[in-house]
Order: sequence, then C-alpha cells, then structure tokens
Amino acid sequence: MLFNSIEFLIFFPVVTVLYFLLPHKIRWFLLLISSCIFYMAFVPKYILILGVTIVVDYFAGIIISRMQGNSKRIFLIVSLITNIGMLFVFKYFNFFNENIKHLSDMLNWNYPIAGLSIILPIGLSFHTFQSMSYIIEVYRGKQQPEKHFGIYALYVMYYPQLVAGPIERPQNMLWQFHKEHSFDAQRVSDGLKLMAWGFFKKIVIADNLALVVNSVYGNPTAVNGFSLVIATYFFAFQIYCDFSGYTDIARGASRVMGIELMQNFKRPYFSKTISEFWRRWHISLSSWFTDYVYIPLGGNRCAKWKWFRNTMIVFLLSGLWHGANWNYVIWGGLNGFYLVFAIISKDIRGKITKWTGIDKFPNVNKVVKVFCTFNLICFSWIFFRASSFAEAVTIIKRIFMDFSLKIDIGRAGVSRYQLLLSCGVIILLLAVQLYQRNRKIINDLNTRHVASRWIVYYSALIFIIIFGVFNTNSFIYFQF
Amino acid sequence: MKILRKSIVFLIIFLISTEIIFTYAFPARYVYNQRINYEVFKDNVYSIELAVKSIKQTISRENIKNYYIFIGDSVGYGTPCPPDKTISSYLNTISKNEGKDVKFFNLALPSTMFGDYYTVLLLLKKYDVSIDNVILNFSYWEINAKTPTYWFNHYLKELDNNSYNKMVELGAIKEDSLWKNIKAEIYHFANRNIGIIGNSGFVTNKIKSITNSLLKESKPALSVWSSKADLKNAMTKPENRWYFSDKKFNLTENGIQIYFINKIIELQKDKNIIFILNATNNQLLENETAKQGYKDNIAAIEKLFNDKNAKFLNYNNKVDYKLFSDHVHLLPDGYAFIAQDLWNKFDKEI
Repeated sequence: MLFNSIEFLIFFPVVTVLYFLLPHKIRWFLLLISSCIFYMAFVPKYILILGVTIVVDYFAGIIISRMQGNSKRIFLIVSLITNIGMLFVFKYFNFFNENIKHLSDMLNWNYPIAGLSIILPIGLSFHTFQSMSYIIEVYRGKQQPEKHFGIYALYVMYYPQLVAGPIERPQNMLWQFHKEHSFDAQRVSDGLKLMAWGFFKKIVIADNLALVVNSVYGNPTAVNGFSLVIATYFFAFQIYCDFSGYTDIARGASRVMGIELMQNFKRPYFSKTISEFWRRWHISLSSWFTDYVYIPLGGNRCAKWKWFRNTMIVFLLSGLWHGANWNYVIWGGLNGFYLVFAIISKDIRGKITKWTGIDKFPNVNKVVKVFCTFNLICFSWIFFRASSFAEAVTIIKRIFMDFSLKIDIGRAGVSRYQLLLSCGVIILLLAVQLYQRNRKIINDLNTRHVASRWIVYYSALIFIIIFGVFNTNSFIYFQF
Repeated sequence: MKILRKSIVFLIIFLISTEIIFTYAFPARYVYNQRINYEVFKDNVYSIELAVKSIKQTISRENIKNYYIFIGDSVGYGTPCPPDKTISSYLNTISKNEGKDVKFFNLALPSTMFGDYYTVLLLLKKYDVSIDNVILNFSYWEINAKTPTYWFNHYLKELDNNSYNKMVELGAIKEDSLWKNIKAEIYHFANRNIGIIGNSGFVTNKIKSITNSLLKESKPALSVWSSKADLKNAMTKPENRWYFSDKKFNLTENGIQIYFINKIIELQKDKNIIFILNATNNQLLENETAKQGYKDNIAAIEKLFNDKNAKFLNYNNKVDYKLFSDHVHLLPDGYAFIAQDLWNKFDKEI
C-alpha cells in the first residue's frame, strides 16, 4: 500500500482510531495485523519471506542470549545466513548470475545456470537489515531478546517503516511497543503535521520534479549539457523529497500512535563536506553500516590504507544495498572515493583555503563548501539515476562537451511552466529548510496565533491539491 | 478533545470557503472554452460534468433557445487546432455572421467510442441540457472497435446500468473489482461535491497557460500531413494498420457499436441528430482506401444509417487532401470547409 494512495487515506484513520479504542494489551495485535494488510497490498505471497526471517531471528535471538562462545556464534551465523540468503536469492542472484555468465561467455566457457524469474519483494533490504540489527545487538549483549513473538514480529513488520525505513534499532523500538501510549492531542496534531509535510514533499515537490527529470533522462541526447545539469540538480531534490517525504509520513503516522521513529535526514544538501553529507543523509542506513561493518573492520583507528579500504568497502556495499546494478556500485564507489580523496587532500585544501584568503570570510567559505559538496553529490546521482552505465557516460560527456548557457530543456518535452514550477518548489523547500536551521517549524507553528496557523494549513492544503501530482507514483526507495 | 473540535471547525470553514471560491466564483470559461479542456479531462474524466454544467449555465445566462450539441471524436474536438478553429467554433462564427440565433456547443473528445457518445447524451439529459439537436461525428474504425467505451464506463454504469451489464455479459467491458468500484465512487464523489478538487485541474491549467504565455512558450506550429516525414511509415505500423482495415465490419445487430448506435437513435427519437463520417486522407492512405474491402465497409456504414432512417453525411472523398494535418485530422481550413458545408446543408433546418 502506498502512502500516497486512497487506500492509505482510509487505512490510516481506521487503524489509528482502533489503536486508541483498544486496550493496550492487544494493540500489538492490531498493529501486526494492520502491518500484514499493508504489506500484502503489494504482493501478498511475499509475506512468507518476512514470516521465515521473523521466525528464524526470533528463535535465534532467544538461543543466542542463552549461549556462550562458539555455539552463540553459530546461531548468529545461521541467522545472518538466513537473512543474507533471502536477500541474495531475491535481490542479487540474477545480478551475479548474469555477470558470471558474461564472464563465462568471454572465456568461452559453458555456463548452465539460468536466471530466476522473480520479483523483488518490496522493502526487502530495509526489513532484512532491521532484522540483522536485532540479532547482532542481541549477540553483542546490548539488547535483551524479545520474548513476545508478536512484539518481535511487529518490530520487523511495523507498517510505517516496513518498506522504506528508517532502519530502526531494537533499542529504540521494542520498549516503545511495550509501553502504553495514551491519546495525546498535541502529539497527534504534531504527527499529522509531519505527515502533511511529507505528503507535500512527495506529491508537490518530488513528483513535479520527476516529470522534468524523467523527460530529460528519458531522452538525454535531445538536450544540451546545461539542461542535463538542471535535470540532475532536480533529481537531487526529487530523490531527497521522495525519500525524506516517505520518512516524514512514516514518522508522523507513527508519532500519532505515540511511537517515535528515528530521524533519517537532517537537511543533507546544506552539508559542507561529503562525510557530513553522509551523517545527514539516510542516517539509519549510514549508521547501520558504521556500526556493523565499518567499525568491526577497524574504522579509522588503524593504518591509513586500512581506513581507506574500510571506507571503500562500506560505500561499495552501500551501493550494492541500493540495487543489484553496476550503476549503484559505481555510485557507492564514487562516494567512497570522495571520502578517501577528502582525507588525502585535507592538508592541501587547507593550504588552498588559506592561500585564497577565503578562510577570513567564514560565511563565503561555508557557501563555497556547501556548493562544492552539493555538486559532487549531484555528479554521483547521475550514476544513480541513469538507466545504465553507458547512459551515465553519455550524460557526463554531454555535460562537459556540449555545454552552453542556453536552456533547451523544452526539446525533451518539458514546458516552461513545468520548469518554473520545479524551480519554485525547490526554492520553497530551501526556504523552509533555512528557516528550520535553528528551530522546528512545527513547534514554531504551535506558538502562532490560531488564524495565522490555519492560514498556513489552508495554503498548504490548497497548494497540494492544485499543484500535486496525483497519479500515485511509487516511492523511489521502495525498489530497494 | 479541544484541539480535535477546533480542527473540525476549521476544516468546515475551509471547505465552505473553498466551495464558495471554487464553485460559485470560478469562471465558467476556465472549464469550457469553445470545447472541453482536454488537458484537464484526460487526467480527470469527471470534469465532463463540470463542462456540461458550464454549458448549462451559459445557456441559461444568455437565454439561448436554439442550440446544437456537437459530440464526437478528435475530429469534432478539433485536433490539432486551437479551440477557435474547430467545426463547432466555425459554425458559431457563420451563425453570427449570418445573423442567425443559433449556437453550437462542442462536447467532442479524442478517443471516444459510440458507448461514450451515448453516455454523454445521457449526461446532458441528466443535467437537463436539451439534446433536441445533436451532431455526432465519428471515424471509420470506431464502428468496428472492440470496446464500447473509452472514457465513460463509470458514467455508463451509473446512467444506464442495463446497457453496462449487457456489455459486461458480452465481455466487452471488464467489470472492475469491488475495491476499484469503491475507489471510483470516492473519486466521483469528491470531484462532484468538493469544488476545490473538481476544479483543481482547471486552476492548474489556467496557471500553466498564463505562465507559458508570459514566458512566451512556443506552441508547435500546425503543419500539413505531407510535411511530416514519418507519418506514412507510422501509418503502416501494426498498431495503426487496424484503423483502416479492409476486413469486413460486423455491422449486424449483435455488434457492440451497433448496440449503442441503436441506443442513440432510440434516445433521439423525435429529436434531431446528424451522424457524420469523418473524411479520410486518401492521398496518405491511398493503398488502404483503394482496397475493395474498405470501400465495401464504407458502403455498408452508409447503408446502416440509411436503413435506420438516420441523417447521415459521409465526408469521404469530400475534403481536399491538402487540408489534412494527418490521416483524419484537418487544418483550420479543413474544419472551416466542413463547417460551411454543414451549414449549407442544414441551413433551412437551422
């Protein structure tokens, strides 16, 4: 079920009202059933995959907590193999199989294994990582195993964050399911406002930008380099609003019921460095890789080459996490390279800053840094958005070889109205984000006079209805 | 609870104020300007109701007694010409120039079938807009199309459930699931009863057209078919070939299009309806239109309407090939020619 669908418009109030009407003891059951319905609205049979991982991890968690030494490790490995195995079969098998086949063809070997004709279950990477997080935390002794099977199942399946995160940790979620949450009008109101902002980001900003981006990226040879740069900038905001919009709706829906989900984005395009960007973008995934891959590999407290290796491993894996496609791997690799290069060039960059005298103007320095970081990230988005490596190369070539300051985006079928609207919504987003630098817009609104508050709500609602794109576009991150 | 009460009060205020702005203070010309706004319609079929309401308002405001409703396909709609260069708009100009007190309203839409035409007539009847005088244009292939409706399944179900069920029985319409039906009802209810939702497409469209004109967005120029290099090739592609098929048409009484032609004739009994078969570009489609099967089908269509004592005009071979913009659509001069010809033929009746 998509958040931006009429089904959800009915589903959400019904579940929420029932949640508050029912006694605390059976609320978990309501949420679990609702989550099953929510997930089964996509492809019903894939709930079995979830079922298998839930059962395996539930028992593995209990057993691991009772074991010591090697036996404990064996059950951890069994659980991880089950989770990663599912992920491999459904998401990566065909990718690796095809690549091995290509290699075999090149070497004139006979490779007999055929690909699987299966559809990727929605949100597989998200709930698998969440399950793995639980098992690892129990193994490390940082989390008591959850004895209540229903609550554990709910931890994996909780509908607001089931298909596109945030990837939660057991320490943040399990206790919240046990705690009784009474109806709090202010909290409900805040949750609804967060949801509304999420819908705004998705329906008005992301889906309008998608119209331009899809037209240009669907026909990249029709336009010049400048138009491709504009489309890539638009994609940067599209993917941000699409994904952070989803997160806001998820967090808002959950807040209404009294369950707080972690923040997944902190105004990432205002980052001054690439490493800062990754601390502010898809935080739940970045921290997952940091905690469970980067630090166990040695993090940055080791020899420099190992530090670089660890960084590259994390980002290549992060790329692969997004999709079984070389473009994602390159995207991840490129971001890893940025970080390694940043470490290597730290002294030189410092010297350049001093030499140019820009360090005497901290605000200018900041703007330059944000601009550079944003452009580097946008460059990597080309690989993320292009349908193939060859297409990404074509786009990059055109950006550098066919650049003129003339916007010919109309040649890809984009009207000037659409272009203007896209620029307008981006400016609006940036204005809101700048406003939110030191304060929270929701808290601020609550202190305003009732009339001005409602003018804002009315305007937002009218804006959504008039400028929203209502053809229920799926969220980009659902495919991961 | 206080906050909930407050929210409900403010929501009611919001709905009432937007209802006033978007329903009563909303200019009717944004909804219907010489024809339906197809840009809005294709995303929201329920906007047809607003167009009908808008026509009704105009009729009542201007106290129009004598008028024709033009229904039909993209040729009647006037593709690819602007709204003031369609058959109905030219007819309005001629009528005005001749000092006649007759108006023409255009409710034609691209990609329509006979089930759609019938449903539009029922909708007009529902809104008490007279269907005493109707002009209906259609294209050669429509009479043999496999689907009875392209746009108005939902309205057909609502306005003539028996016909809808008959089409479901014949397998011509696939019945939607219960949930899809509920969703359609919700959309319909919202579009019909909540002004801001029903009119939002028109507001966006208006803003779009103002912006495009301010930014001097160039519109694609109208061009004659012979200047379109790929057109001839495109017409030979399998997906286009069926348009001018020479296979014998099923024009028996059990054909689904015939069912709706009969329904239209039955509905228009004692009323005036003129059926028009669109002209075909015989230069572009010289191979297709030269085939005996094609000629036989045209003759059979003529016979069908003559047998039913319906007024029928066949524009095949009547329009100069230089006036076409593609296989059936015309340039402004082509539409003006049809309008003048229609006026000349029905001048006495009008």
